[in-house]
Amino acid sequence: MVDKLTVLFLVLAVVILLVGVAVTVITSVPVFQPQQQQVTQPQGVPQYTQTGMVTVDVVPRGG
Amino acid sequence: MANKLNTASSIFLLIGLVLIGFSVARTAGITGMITGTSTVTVSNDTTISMVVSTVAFGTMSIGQTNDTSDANPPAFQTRNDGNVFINLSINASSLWVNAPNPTTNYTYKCNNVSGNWQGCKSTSPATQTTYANMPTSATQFIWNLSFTSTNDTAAADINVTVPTDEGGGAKSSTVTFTSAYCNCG
Repeated sequence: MVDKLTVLFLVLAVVILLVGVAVTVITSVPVFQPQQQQVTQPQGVPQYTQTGMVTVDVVPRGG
Repeated sequence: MANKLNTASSIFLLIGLVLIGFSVARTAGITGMITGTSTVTVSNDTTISMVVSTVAFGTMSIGQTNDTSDANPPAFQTRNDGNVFINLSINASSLWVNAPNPTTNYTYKCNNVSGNWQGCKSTSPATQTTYANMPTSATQFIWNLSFTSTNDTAAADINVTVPTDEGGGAKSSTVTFTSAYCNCG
């Protein structure tokens, strides 16, 4: 004969088991977590210079 | 019978507690998986080079005008050799003795290089698409020049008119192109 305490204990164990399984399943579902990308504005990016040359040969007046 | 049920229920209870423990640990981030972060910093580079660095108009007479829009002579060409979008500025020393900069006798504008569609955007107010007097201090004339290999070169057209009171002889002007990082890509 099964006593009431044993049945209660069994029911409690099953409930806990189900809760545990449920929580495990829920927390196992991958959750998308957006990646936050922080872009730091470059400070002090050096400037570069290059030079060119414009040349003209001017014909002298009356030349 | 009762003992067997007690044993079974105890096992169920133990399994339930273990699963709950796993759940709590997973939720709290206590797992066996190791994570790490790797960081790579790429320096911003605004290096430029001159593809065409000399504009030689050759012999010209008093009052004569010539420019590079017909590629005779070829215009300046500046290439973005860096890894970021850049703005280009221009300034130059005076070409004429009797018409120092800025003067309508010595003007410039941006132009596109064949195959480089991004070099000179007429839609940008920061781009000089019509001839302007050559400045003595750095003045932006090309905006948002790309660094990708097919769109990284822009041209600077030069237009000169020999002043009517200019003396004869060889005239030259040093043109300086300055690149600056453009946060506009």
